[in-house]
Amino acid sequence: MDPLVVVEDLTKHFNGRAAVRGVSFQVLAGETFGLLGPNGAGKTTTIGMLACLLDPTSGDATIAGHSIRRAPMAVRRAIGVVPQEIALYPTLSARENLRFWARMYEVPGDIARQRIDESLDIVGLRDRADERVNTYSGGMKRRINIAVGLLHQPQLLMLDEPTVGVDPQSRSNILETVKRLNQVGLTILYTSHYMEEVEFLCDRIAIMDLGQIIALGTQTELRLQVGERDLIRIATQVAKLGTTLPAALRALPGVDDVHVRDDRLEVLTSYGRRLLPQIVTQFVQHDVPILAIEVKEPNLESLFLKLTGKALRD
Amino acid sequence: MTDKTLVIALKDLSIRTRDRRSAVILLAMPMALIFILGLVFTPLWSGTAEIQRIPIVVVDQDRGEIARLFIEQILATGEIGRLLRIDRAGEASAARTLVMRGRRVAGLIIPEGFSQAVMTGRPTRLTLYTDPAQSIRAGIVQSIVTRFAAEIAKRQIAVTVAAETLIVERVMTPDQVAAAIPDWLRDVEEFIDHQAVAIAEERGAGPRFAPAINYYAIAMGVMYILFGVSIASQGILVERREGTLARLRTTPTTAGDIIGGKLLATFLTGFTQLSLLVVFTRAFYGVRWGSPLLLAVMISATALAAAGLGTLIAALARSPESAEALAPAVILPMSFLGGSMWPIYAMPPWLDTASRLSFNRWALDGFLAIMDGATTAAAIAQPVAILLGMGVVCLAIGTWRLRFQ
Repeated sequence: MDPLVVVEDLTKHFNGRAAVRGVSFQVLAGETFGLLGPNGAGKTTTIGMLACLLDPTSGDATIAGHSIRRAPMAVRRAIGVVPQEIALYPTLSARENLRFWARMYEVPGDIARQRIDESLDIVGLRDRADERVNTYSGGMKRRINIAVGLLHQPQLLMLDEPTVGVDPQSRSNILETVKRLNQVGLTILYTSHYMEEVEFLCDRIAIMDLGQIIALGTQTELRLQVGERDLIRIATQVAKLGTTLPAALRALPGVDDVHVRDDRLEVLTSYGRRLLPQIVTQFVQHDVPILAIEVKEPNLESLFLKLTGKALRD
Repeated sequence: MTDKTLVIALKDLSIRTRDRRSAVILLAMPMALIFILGLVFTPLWSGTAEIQRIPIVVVDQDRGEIARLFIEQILATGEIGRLLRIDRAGEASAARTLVMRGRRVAGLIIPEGFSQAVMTGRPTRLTLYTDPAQSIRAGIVQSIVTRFAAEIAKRQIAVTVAAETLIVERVMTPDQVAAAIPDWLRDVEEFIDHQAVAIAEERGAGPRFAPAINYYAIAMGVMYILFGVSIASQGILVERREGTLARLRTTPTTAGDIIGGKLLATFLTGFTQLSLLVVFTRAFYGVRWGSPLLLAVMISATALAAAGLGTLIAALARSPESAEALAPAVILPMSFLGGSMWPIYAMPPWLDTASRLSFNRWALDGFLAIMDGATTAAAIAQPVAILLGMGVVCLAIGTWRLRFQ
């Protein structure tokens, strides 16, 4: 896949203080790319520069082949932006809001009517479209906020923390909507400080802290990059283990270590679930019963903790 | 003007028309104030005001002819009679108590034998109690009584000299002179009345005023257009706070389109507001505004100047709340200085000069000229040019500041 977004050494200073420091990454066409990091990591500033809201102090980025420095209008036509705030006019209805934003995105009138209905269908609010936005729940407002970004059928949709402050049901609804949009081919750049959202949605992830990207890759690559391993815990009758089964397990390719603790055996590996069948086969061959199996994979939270020494939500 | 400028302006107007609170403030409030100020000031400006009379109490212990003449012919009639409300009391102590309690401004005691003493040229005295808490009104009463006493004293001297001469020269007998003295003294009444009439005539000769309701229709209209437009200008601050301004800037819309749309909406708000006030004051209060064409020019110039000021206020403020606080701090002094509260006719020369720094003054000058029957553009050229100049300067500074925020 070709990169739709190419970010090169992007830097932004505010009053001499660096908010983003030399960020570089690519977003491939059709993928969902996540920017994960705590509040203040520089995600929103990065999105702000890519959305042509902020001028970079140095560096550049191209979106659909257009430079954010040299061709901001062309970039704006190529992107849809869903900001962190609910950037809507509360005393106008959802349809009136969408009609206004369609005009701002230069969607012709007859096409706009169709696009408005399609966008309302995507976010599931067509039947409430003529009600004023200030009568909506927080989750419904967030969904209309997303619908605005879809009106002109952008090549890239940038969502900046789109689930902040919504209830779990609405959050799930929003995540499903974003997933569906990606499945029909829309390229998505998604920022969040919720690890589970990024894990659920994103093909590739850049972890940001203090204005820098500290890790980048697929979820598997990230785990490998920082040396974190999966932990397979097998509850068993420890007395029947002997020495041959642990030795056989240690001999399996991909197994890094084997420990016996209390009533269970623990296997450390970088390929947790893929090794499970071979591990189970060894237990059967050695006639040792398996009472329960638990696979504990390192998540992005633990990666962040390992990389920065602090929790993601600090 | 681009298509997007118009769309942004129409969106702003659509939002504004749904804000009933603002509509009440911007239309109902000036209508009410025009009505109240017109009602209060019209009789005063047209010289038909019912002035609140000065309450005094008189104790006539004399009951003689000069005392009766003083009370009935001087204090109770003519211009002085319209100024005073006279009650009688039987005892000096009762009059004193009324004054001490603040229920009367002054108490006049005419002692027994006053008339006889005046007619025979003997010294006598009037006693006047006054309320120090109402010094101005008490001073008026005191000056009337003092003038009467001085006139009596003057006549006494003249009459005494004349009587002695007539008796010495044997023109009249002493009895004839004694009988004529009251008639000679009675002239004092005519003298005082004559003075009063002279004062009234002097008051009547002044500049030609627009009726109060017409004046305040303009004055309040101009002041409230400034408020209206300052509220409208806060729209850009609200959009900044709500994030819609940032979102607008992520769309392929230029800064010129955004600022132009906002400015157009602000101008149209002011124009509509002032036009509606013209229509309503014409319909409900009978205000005659004059040439519709010149009026449209004047409303446009005022709305544009107000839009410029509103933009500057919005640019100087950091949030809608601070703009809300800043707007009255700018508009109210300018309205006071510029004649929206205090008529420009009544301004001292230095204030009249200072008022020319305000929007209100030039707008008032233009509208008053149209009301006064102006039919040519030349009559309003100066106020229109100055208003446009002020508006453009404010707009330029405001826009320049907004671009850097």
